Amino acid sequence: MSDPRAGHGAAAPVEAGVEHAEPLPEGVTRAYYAAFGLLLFLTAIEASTVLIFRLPPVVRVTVLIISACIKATLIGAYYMNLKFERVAMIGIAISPLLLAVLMFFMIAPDAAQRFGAR
Amino acid sequence: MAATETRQQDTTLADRWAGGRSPWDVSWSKLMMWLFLASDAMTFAGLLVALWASRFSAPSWPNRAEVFNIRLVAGMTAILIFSSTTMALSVFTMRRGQRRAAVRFLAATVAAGAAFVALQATEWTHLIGDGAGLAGNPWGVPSFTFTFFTITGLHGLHVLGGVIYLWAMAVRIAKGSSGAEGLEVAGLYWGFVDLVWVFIWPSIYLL
Repeated sequence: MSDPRAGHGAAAPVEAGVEHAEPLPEGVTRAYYAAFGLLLFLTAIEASTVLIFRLPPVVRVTVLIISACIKATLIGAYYMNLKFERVAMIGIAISPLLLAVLMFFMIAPDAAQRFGAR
Repeated sequence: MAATETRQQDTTLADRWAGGRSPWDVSWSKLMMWLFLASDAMTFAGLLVALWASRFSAPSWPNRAEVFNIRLVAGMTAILIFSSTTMALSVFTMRRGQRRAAVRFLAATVAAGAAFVALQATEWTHLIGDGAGLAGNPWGVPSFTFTFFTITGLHGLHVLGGVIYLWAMAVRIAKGSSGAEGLEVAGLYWGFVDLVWVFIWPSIYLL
């Protein structure tokens, strides 16, 4: 796997008094714009499941969950720079999501059973 | 040979965690921000799970398309996505040493964040005007508005806090008293605010 920080193209003019931090890869701005477009598109799809299309609940739920997962991945990877971080940092970021899923499956059956018992 | 290598790796790891070097070679501020975000993510995860538990155990749930202005909230979502993009561009330009461009992108982020808060305040005003509150609402399902106000309120406070944080950061960067590392840490916070909304938006308004 290539170093994502490598190859940052032509040097931009550096202003006085600005520290020389490790630059992000040059092509990442294209990724930001692509992510922006895709996130807007997915948001439009999500809104259309309520405003335009009359989808069966199972299809709507599936579309919304998949869309949310893609959007979260894009934001985490590019806007929070996890794509360029170490695996251990990605572990910190993902652990709450895994715990949330676990918590949901611990509580949801009980809540559903209460509703069913009424 | 292999045992020697293992011993060397263990020594290196121990040195790092003993404070010899920063864990994972990141700054303390970035690591602390990540740990804060992990704990904050669990707070929001707990609230969203509580929302779903409330929905599953409630005999009925109001039709969100009739209660909320979905187009308005979709617009708020787009504004937040726009602000995350300008935030990322601010970090990128600062890392390249272009401070003025970084401040301009940061100003756009602050403006978008403020617009999001203003639109959320408008939405809350309409709902409260309709008689909705923490303890009850016209639709007869108290947990509906309790979870709505709690979750969107906490998120709104995060956005408002982020606007103030980024405003202060813009001033510091313009003066040259803060650098790329500090801006990147602020960018992590702002990305998180957008990330949380990715799950709040379908959970409350669409599903």
